[in-house]
Amino acid sequence: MKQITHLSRRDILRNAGAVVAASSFATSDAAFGNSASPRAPQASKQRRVLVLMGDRYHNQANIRGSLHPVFTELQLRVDYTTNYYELSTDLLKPYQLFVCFRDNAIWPGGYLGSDEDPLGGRGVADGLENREDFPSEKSENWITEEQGHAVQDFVSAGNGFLSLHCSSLISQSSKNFRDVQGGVALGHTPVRYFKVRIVNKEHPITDGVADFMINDEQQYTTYDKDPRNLLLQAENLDGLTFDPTTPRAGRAGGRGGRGFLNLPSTETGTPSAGNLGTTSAVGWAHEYGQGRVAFLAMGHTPQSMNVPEYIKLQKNAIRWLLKQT
Amino acid sequence: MKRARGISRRNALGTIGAMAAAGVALNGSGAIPNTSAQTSSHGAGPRAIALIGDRAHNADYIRVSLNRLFGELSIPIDYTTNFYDLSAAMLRPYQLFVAFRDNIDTAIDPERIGLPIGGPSWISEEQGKAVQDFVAAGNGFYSFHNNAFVSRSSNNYRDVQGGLALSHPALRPFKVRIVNSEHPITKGIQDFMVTDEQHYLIYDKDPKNILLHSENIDGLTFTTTYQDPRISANPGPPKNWGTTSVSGWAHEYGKGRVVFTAMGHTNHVMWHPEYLKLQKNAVRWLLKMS
Repeated sequence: MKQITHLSRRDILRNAGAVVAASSFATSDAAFGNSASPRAPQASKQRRVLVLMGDRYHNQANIRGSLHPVFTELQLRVDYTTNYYELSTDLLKPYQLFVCFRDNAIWPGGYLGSDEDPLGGRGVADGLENREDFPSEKSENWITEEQGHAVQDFVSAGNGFLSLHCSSLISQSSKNFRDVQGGVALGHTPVRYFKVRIVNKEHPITDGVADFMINDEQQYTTYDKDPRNLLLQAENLDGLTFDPTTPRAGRAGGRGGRGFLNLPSTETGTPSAGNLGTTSAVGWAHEYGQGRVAFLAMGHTPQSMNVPEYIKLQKNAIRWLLKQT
Repeated sequence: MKRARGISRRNALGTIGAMAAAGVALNGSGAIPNTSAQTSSHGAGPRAIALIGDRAHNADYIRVSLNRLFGELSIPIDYTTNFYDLSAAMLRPYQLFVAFRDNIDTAIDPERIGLPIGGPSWISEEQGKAVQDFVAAGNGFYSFHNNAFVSRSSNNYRDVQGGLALSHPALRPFKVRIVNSEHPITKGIQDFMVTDEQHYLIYDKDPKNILLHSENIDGLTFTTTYQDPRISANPGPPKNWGTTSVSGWAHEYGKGRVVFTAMGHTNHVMWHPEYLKLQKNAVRWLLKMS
């Protein structure tokens, strides 16, 4: 992958976004995050993005499918990885923007389901006659404080960090990651309709974006920094509330029989909050050292990722994080 | 990504299979299909690269499943979801190519409010040739489950894979029968029941290479309009393919070896005790350890 002597038409198409912006030809090794590449210095003008994506409940194929058109339109060269264990200072070095779209959990002991239908279709294990014979599923946290520190250093050095959807769960598992992300997920409802309101219209990220309805998991978060940094608030207009301490009723079959993601309060120091009401903070942006951080909570399905107003927010956020606005 | 500096305990755990087999410590970049520059430091053991994940097959459960297989075999494995990176150069550092994804590049259609749609096929004939050359040079190729759909989109890939998928019914129980118990891959394996997608396939090479049949013992059959793309890429008249399908084969290709096994829609199928045994035998055979 070091010396690319020729490019197929397909390579070029695959990297259309890169080719548009690169002065030298971008190649299919873009996805390797190859910091030692001799071509790296030539691309100094071009902003490079690394996306860490995909987990049990969020299929990387859909995430890539949703994000790639955004990066292409912004003429950014983007690399994708699902290899959470590689997150490190070295991995981030060639990039100016780190995008994270995965949760905090890995499941090395296995699980009954396969891919999770983003719209909550029937669980693949529903038909099993001996479901109870399978051991209960047990997740582990993948992130180390060293990895959280790598993100801190990356951002404070002047780079950008876009945290999407379930990535706020990672802050449950790493204080360093929480420090730079600025908040943590408390849990979320199943996919249902709610309104996303812009609570700060003066920010470049919300510029020209109208309030919008979305059908998604409504995430409930704690934001740790200055509340003036909050950009978005979600409200269930039907008056439905959320209590992270109460398991979801029904649907014993799907999703491994689990209810909501319950925040273990002892781990994060956040008290069990009981009923959190109809409204939650679902977007923020702050400076961190010389860099910038934005969090956008929506995105459980490709459908919600592609709500037109939400796409605008994603684009604005990326431009702001790269200090283009 | 090139040079491993600090190795955390967690990184080491993340590549435990790798650690066990490699003479030197591996770094967290295990999953990056790096250039040959790195391989020289890996010692003599074989190394696998897995191309995984598509819209209907989350890379997460595939990685979980394969981590156990390769961990228990103490063979290091790297993962990528970047289908566009498949090339001769990508495969060069490896002795085994594992493919567990279909032929479709997931596209999200904003005009249809983000509905995932069947995009175009991702594979080029150049990529198919890269796999041909890799295997013919003496390496192994383990194709899983829906990967047989890739042969619908590349003649070169089909040539080395040796067959292709037609289509499949939804998850339902069926019996996997060993039809050649003399092969190193099936040695000691009993027939077994699974709940999985029963894939219906065409095998192009010598039928003696077929190792497994799947049979719906409730007598349920499968009818599809999909046909061999050599006849037509378009749907044909509905055809009933019966209760039984070819679901596993193994053949030599040049100096290398190829195995396909059709089961694998879920983690629990992948870890079915008999199937896991069979997978281990397959990997050993592919790497000429048996």
